[in-house]
Amino acid sequence: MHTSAQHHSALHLPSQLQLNRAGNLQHFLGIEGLSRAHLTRILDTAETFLGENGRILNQPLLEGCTVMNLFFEPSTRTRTTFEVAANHLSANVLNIDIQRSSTSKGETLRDTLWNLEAMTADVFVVRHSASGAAHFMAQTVCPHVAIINAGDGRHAHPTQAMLDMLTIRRHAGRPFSELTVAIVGDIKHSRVARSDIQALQTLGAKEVRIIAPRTLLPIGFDAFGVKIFENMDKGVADCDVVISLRIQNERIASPLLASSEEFYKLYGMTEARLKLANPHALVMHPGPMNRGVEIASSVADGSQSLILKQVNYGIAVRMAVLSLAMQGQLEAREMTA
Amino acid sequence: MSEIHMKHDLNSGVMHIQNIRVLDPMHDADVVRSVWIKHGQFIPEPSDSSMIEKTIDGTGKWLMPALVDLCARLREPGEQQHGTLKSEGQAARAAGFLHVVIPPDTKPVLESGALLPGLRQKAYDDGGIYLHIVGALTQGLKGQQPANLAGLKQGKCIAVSNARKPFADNEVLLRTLEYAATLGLTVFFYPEDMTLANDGCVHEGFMASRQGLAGIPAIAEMVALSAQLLLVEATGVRAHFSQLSCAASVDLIAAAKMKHLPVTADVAMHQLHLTEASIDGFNSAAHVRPPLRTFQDREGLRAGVASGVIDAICSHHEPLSATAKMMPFAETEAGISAFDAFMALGVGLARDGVLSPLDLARRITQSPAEIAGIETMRQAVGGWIVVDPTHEWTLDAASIQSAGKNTPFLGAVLTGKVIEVVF
Repeated sequence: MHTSAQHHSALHLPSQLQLNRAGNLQHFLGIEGLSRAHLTRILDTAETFLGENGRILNQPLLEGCTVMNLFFEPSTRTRTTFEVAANHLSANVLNIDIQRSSTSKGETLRDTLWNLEAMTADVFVVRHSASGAAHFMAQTVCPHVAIINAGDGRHAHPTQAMLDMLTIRRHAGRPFSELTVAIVGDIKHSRVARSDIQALQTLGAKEVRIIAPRTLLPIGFDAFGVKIFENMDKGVADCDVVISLRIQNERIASPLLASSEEFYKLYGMTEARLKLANPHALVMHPGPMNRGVEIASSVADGSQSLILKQVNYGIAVRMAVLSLAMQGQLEAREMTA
Repeated sequence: MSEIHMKHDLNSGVMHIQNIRVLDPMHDADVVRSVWIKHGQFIPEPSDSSMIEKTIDGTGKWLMPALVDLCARLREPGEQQHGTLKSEGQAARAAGFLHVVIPPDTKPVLESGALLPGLRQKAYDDGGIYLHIVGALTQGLKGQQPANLAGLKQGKCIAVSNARKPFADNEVLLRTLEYAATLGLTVFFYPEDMTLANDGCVHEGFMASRQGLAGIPAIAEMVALSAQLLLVEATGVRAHFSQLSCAASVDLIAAAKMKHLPVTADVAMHQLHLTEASIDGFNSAAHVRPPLRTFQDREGLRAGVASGVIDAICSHHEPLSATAKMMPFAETEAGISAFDAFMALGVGLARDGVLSPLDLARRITQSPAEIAGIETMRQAVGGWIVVDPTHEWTLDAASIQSAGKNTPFLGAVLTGKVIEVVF
């Protein structure tokens, strides 16, 4: 007898879904299942959109295409950078205000998406509170619209991971194989942490560490091939990159943590702790930051911080992902025809 | 695939089955012989062969009593978009179940004894099965105060339960158990601490962490089960623990049985086969509660069934309409449509050496009937099923008799099937 585990995994894995028959991206749902070549191609493509002094170059690769931003969760930074990215590619961009749309009137997610697809959408950029939402859309609802995951629950935030990788690649001065990278904070609830870990491992980072109190560590993460630290000082020692994660206010007011002050004392990215890392270690944060909770203002604004660079690179990475996925969809359509 | 043959006609003739392996837990018998069945009961070979309506060759097949299920949701009353007494009763019957126990969390809640006879009649008339009802332990299942348990007992409910709804506090639980004990009612528990389960939808483990799905830790089941066992000991109420999902729960039940507490337990058939690996790729067909847990849990549950610490195997059948599973994973409804694959999975247990075919038959017929207090009735009603343990078939949407096509085994090639139902 074939058990369902054997039976279904091949059909359901994101890697099978997000690639077309030629093996190119047709959706961008997560890092899991993508090869180093896929990630490198995204980074290389992003580089082509970067001009001097943070300028983003226009390339009309999506002319005539319609990109719809579907944000079921509030977001400023990610949504804006996707919009800017799509504009630089000459796409028609629509921001659908989901809070006010039909889903709040009881229409199912499926019906909402089918209606939007009928309005000739080519790309859906999706943020949703449910893990697997983008995957569900690509698999079940709109396989012929390029689905770009802009964050699904606690599962994945692959464009954030890729902009983090671009930041590291441009500024570390050394290949990934020589880098020790630490991710600090609420790993358990973080889609950024999951995607960063997978991207770093795929790109061959020497060592990936996660640093958190036990309450914020996901169960079973030792099987992810990361080094787990509950002590911040030990965790940041000799690191080349430290990525601090945002602590949500709701975690502070829960049994998971005592107070923001105590979290800062135990896990805050301070100047003293930065000195424990390698000289010139890179400091990163996906934003928005809680200064004085997970990171000291002086570190966030200091010379080793790349936090604003990350935002800038986010536009280029999203341009790369949008154009590559659209290209993959067009290839898939030709193959079917 | 053989056509299921149903017999409602009390004047029907005799069925003769030659050379069949008879698995009869009542008589602890596992023998190959020829049998003659009339009105669901064995009879001696008729002197007049013209009385024999049908003869089948049972070589290589098993004959076991009609199945008894300790937990299935047939969705009526109140949730007929997922299934009805007719659709699910007929699916149960086709899968070999003649007796089906339903929990009280229908809409409305099953808390009025007067309504129960009508429901049982409808299940028999429309679905061809004997329905057995677990009544509500607390009013509206709200966990505040006991339901009218005497009325429920009068309405012949076989037990009472709060289904998967929480109790307001431990005092309510203690007092309702005392009250149930006063009336001699068995209480069914589905142990899960709601505060520890929180917003979880899958087992809290590697797969949940990887996919970013909120987990239900194994400790949620153990904390609830431990507390409930203490309260059972304190009150002396007879208790049945249904759908255990953790290996450690088997140890807790074993310890309680060592102390001679009046407790029994069952496990859902799919828990003996699947693990958290089935949720890979956000496969909502494997979204079920309690969740599919680890390989070690599955092995522990298998060992519990083998040793008899777990007395029975239920289907935990929960049919759902297609739309209920057409959402992002955590937003889908939990449940597996379980009748159709049940026997193949049971045969799989025998093939894997977990249970002898006779013990398999015991865990899905006599033991659940004893737990439900319907053993005398079961014997009186009779009924047998013919199983082909080598029959290979594909479980596809068209072949599923239930209205719910929600099964992680959809598309799987299964071995073993009920090919003849002699009720």
